[in-house]
Amino acid sequence: MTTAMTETTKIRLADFSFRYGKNEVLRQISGQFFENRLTAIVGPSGSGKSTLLSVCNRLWTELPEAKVAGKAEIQLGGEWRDLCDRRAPSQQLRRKVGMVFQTPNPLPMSIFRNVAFPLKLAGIRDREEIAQRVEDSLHRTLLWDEVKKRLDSDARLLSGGQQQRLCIARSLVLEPEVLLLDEPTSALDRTAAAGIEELLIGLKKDCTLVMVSHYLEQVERLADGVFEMSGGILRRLDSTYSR
Amino acid sequence: MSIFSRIVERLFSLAAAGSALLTIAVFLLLLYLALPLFEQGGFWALIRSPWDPGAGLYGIYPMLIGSLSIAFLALLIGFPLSLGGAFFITCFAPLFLRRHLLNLVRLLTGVPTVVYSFAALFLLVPFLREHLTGGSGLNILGAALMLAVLIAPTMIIFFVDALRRVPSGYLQAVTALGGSPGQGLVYIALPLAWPGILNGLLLGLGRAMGDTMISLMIAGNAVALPGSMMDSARTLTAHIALVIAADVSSLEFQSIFACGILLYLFTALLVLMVRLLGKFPKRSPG
Amino acid sequence: MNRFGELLLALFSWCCTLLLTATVGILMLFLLRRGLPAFDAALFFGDTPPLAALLLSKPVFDGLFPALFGTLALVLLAIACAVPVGLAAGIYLAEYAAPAPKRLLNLFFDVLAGIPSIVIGLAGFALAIVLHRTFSGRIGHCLLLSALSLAFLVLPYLIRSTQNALEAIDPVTRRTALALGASKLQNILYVLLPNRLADLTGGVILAVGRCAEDTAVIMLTGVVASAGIPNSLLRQYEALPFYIYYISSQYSGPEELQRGFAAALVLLSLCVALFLLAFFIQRRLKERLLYR
Repeated sequence: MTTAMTETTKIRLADFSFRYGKNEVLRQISGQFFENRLTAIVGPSGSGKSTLLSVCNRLWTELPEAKVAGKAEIQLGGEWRDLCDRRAPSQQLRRKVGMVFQTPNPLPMSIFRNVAFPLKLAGIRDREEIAQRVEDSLHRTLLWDEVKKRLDSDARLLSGGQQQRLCIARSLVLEPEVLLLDEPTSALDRTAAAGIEELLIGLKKDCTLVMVSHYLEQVERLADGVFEMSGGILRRLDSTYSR
Repeated sequence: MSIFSRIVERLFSLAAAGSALLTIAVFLLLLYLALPLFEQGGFWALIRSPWDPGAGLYGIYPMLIGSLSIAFLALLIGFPLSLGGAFFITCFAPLFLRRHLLNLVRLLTGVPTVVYSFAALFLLVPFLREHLTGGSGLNILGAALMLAVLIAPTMIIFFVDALRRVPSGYLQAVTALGGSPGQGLVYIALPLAWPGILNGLLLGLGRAMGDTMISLMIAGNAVALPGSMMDSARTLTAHIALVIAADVSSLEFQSIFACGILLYLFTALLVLMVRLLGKFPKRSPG
Repeated sequence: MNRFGELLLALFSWCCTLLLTATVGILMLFLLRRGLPAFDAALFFGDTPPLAALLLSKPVFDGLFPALFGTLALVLLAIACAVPVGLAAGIYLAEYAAPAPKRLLNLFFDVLAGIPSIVIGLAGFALAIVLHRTFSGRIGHCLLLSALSLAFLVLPYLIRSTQNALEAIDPVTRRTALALGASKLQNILYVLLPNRLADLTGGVILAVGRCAEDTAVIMLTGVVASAGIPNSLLRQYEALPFYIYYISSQYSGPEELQRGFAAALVLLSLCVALFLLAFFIQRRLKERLLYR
């Protein structure tokens, strides 16, 4: 089903290359990711999928040996930002471009503090606002009912699926425009993975989602557009462009 | 980046640079106070001549020899002991013992030197005096024995670390081929771990050369050139501790800065050797 | 290697281990046997009432109390000076330094860690001479000078333990807060340091032990056999390790010698207790919530 809505470009790459030390990880790739769509990137491990995600939130600048060339830009709040400039400030951008990792990575603090942590980083001190936004975020990840009675317990005691939803909630609390997902379900069992998939579909209405995945079935179910990464080359797979 | 971050980052770098500069400052300070010796060209003469205040000779040659002989004898005793201990912990000890033994060895590195020397002074020294060496019992052998006990835990920790860093797959391969644990140790682990073992040996030597209390309390502090390990001797470190009370402007006093410089240079040399060792290409087990 | 060689090697390992543990064991038992009988209130406070001594209202003449007090003051001062610098330098090395300066700094700190403590003491002593010459004031051997020298002695250990602790953090934890928009400093303060608090505390405690046991540094920078409780940082003081050394060469009778054994036992238990504390913290604290 293709909606009548015109597709707005959120992230665009043109002849973009990425080197790490002597390795050429991404080779002159080009492509576009659209707003309110879930774009999936598939391909063998080590092909540069995760690297591409780390370009989108400028996490690559934390690697001293990384070098980039070509063009990579992201549109936030209607304004285009360069992703290639190593010295440009990254914090504001990362607050608008959330990231969820393969293994759930709750910090060793309480459930509430985990979700409130990004707000603390952003310098928000109003306690009511924090409580409200944490609750909203946990609602959006369908976690609120499960944890509302034990917000003060250690986040690491949650099940794997709950932990991953907590990590998504932690990213959503900053109301990001883009959410990057690095194989978000591969460390989880089938039921937990289904829960994550369900909530991702719900997120499309106010987020741009870019997801690296190993599971073709999952990609079939969720993705609006699919790219294949292989040997550092990005290729659009239009045949699975179904929704 | 906020101004606060910038200030904090600057403080971090200042702390690091300052600490490094202090390392040089120590050397320069010693050099400055030993300067009168250099001006008279006496520095090298001092290192080569004997100590005889009556004849106006304040050479530290006997102390240099004392330090070297005690340290190397300690290493000669301590190295095989530590190697055996490390073999035991990594290979021969019953499994339940290994972790506890290693923790015990770690604990031993924290035993105060002065406690070791005090106990040895009233137990080992009388024993040596009555049964082995005669005389006062304060001699090179006693000091070296205690130093060996002192540096053994440090060396064992390094050796165990080096042996454990050998990929366990190699050792499993030996076992799978019907080899014994001892064969795995001798044919696979040792050839791979030798840089780490040499590293531990050099650090042990550094500790032995740098120790003050054991040689000060047990070696007897005689200023004559020692002839055998039954003789009493004075080390560079003990010499510094003993002469410190002398008149500040005397030649006798200045000799302790020569001792300090020698000890500093020796340490730096050992560290450089360890560094070079780290650059060695890893040899495959043959 | 045949069966016989294998057996020989195992035998050798057993013997070495037994010999080492037996030697240390015998020395410790000897200390216990000679030192334990001297343990009573008089050992610490002499003829002074313990409470009066603890409140510093009456001086203690022949007890370990002034030496213990001196060691405590010394250790607190030295650690207070060394910890901020050591942590900061360790953080810089692990998180900020570029590869080339890092190699150079590492070399310097390796040299620093290897300098014999008597040479550090000599440097402190030399500093006092130079200050004396330059300002011709009464800046001499004192508690402050000893504490600064000791701080310098343990600085490389603190730097190393901080650096190693931070460098051991896994990349996922390292990136978590960054991906949420944390600045580098926020990441260090809110995530990386709390994550390694157990190791950092353990490192500090081991440094405390190193300060408490060192004799060579303080011998050259201000400790004396009898000074009572120092009333200023610029005074000379007593300390436990030096007391033990002093007794070993100057004891006047069996009773005083026995006090020396008891003092050695006190210092030994202090260092063992500190080690066990560090061990316990590194083990247990990891499981607790350390973030705020």
